[in-house]
Amino acid sequence: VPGAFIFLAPALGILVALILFPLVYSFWTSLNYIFYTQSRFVGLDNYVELLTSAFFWGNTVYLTCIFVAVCVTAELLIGFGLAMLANREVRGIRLLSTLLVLPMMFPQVSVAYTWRYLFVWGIINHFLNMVGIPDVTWIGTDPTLSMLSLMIVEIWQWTPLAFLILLTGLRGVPQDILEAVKIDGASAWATFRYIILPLMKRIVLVVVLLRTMDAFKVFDIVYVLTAGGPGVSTDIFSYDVYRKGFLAFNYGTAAAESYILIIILSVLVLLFYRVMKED
Amino acid sequence: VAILVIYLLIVLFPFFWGVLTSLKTNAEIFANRFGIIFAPTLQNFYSAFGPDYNYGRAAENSLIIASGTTVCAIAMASPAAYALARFNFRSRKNIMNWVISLRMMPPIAIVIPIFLMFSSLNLVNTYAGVILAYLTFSLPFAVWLLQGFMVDLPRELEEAAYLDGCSRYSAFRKIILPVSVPGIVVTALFVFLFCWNEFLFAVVLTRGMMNTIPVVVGKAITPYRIEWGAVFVMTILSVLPIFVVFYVLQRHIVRGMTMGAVK
Repeated sequence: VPGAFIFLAPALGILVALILFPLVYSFWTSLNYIFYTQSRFVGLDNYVELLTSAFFWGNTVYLTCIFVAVCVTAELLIGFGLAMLANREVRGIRLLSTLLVLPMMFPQVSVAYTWRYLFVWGIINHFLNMVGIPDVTWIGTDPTLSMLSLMIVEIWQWTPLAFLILLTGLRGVPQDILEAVKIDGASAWATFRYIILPLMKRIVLVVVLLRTMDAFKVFDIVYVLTAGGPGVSTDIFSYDVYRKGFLAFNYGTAAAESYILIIILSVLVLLFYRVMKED
Repeated sequence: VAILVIYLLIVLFPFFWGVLTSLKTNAEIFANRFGIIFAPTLQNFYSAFGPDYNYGRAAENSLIIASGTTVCAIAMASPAAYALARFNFRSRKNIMNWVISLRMMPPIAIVIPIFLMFSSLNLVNTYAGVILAYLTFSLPFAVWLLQGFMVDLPRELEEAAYLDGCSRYSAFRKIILPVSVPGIVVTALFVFLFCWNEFLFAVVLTRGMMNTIPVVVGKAITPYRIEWGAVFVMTILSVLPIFVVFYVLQRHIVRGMTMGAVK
């Protein structure tokens, strides 16, 4: 239909100019060694250098995977638990669920600064002291604790999304099935394991895939809370690219690294299509 | 329910603490860290609008950029969404898959080439530059979400219009657009929200007086200056419009955040 093209042209034109063209440009950049104003064609050297670098695998990729795995698992478990609790008709539960969702609507930068204040300016330690735990230096000296701080912020902000999606899913589970099993005398666990979980499979997958994609891209909170430190102990993927590109002006390596990130995320998006198609 | 309430308290505590801190003087933030009782002050509020941060200007920048992006995104996305929802053509599926795959595009991968391109086109530090950059994530989002809304419209609407002799274009303009207004509003608010909160493109593409709110908030915490009160005043002010958006969007959040994978 020629008419379709006219309707699509403006949007596709912009997308090609602003995404496809930059990606091609970025691919070209990734084939060059660029430092300040010097630039020289080096072919796939940037990729080879990255993919054979112990730092890239042992630090950047490793840290990102740990971060993503911990955050997504925690968000899914907490979110599911809360959704099960909220899935009932009690007065005020709607308002409660709505308030729970607030964190994800806020700018990540503000959320990150707020938490930095809570971590660094002692109120969290103040609470810990009250229950007899000595002061903890959350950010800046201990690699594990710094990473944990990032995870806490990410989980705090995005559990609401998991909660909300899962709650929508749970509300869609037909009540008559649940009542029928109840009459048959199924235990709560058996109901959950054999009725609710299978029905929720697709929703759970959507949550896991969406959150994995977004957690892989995390940047703002790293920038604000740890700037990749102490040392390089929280140098997660996007921040590492930023550091190489905008702090070290090593655009070639940064572009190559960002391409690797795109490839990882493309795999996830292919899985996402699959899930969408089951609809 | 008790567990939910406890969780809610954990969720709300940072807000509460931020509001409290925003009303303390800087001296008090240092000296009386955990105090709940103190003389509230508007000092931080004035300093946020002062020359150090220029919050007023930043809010203006954010508003212009976010609304500009929203208008552009909706204007281009609604015809595209209509075509993808209603017309049958060979590459339809491919285009739709491509559009949704842009959802995963890491901004960090786009920001480097965009920065290099915009530098040579003199688009760095201009409203137009930031708006164009924001279209990279808001346009695919808008196309996809609107497409979902338009698929749900009854086909009889246009069929009646065609019988009355409307062309595709006038059917779109006179029939589809008006009945899509609720979907368009929801989409527009989402786009506005994403742009309002965006940080990476803003920090790379804007300087000084062109900074948007999220970038300006960061200026209060640097190696040379630590003013938590100002951070929280600016955060609170920037979050107020979000409450309005959130109120309208409540029922649509799941749909928006999952690109329609869960309705």
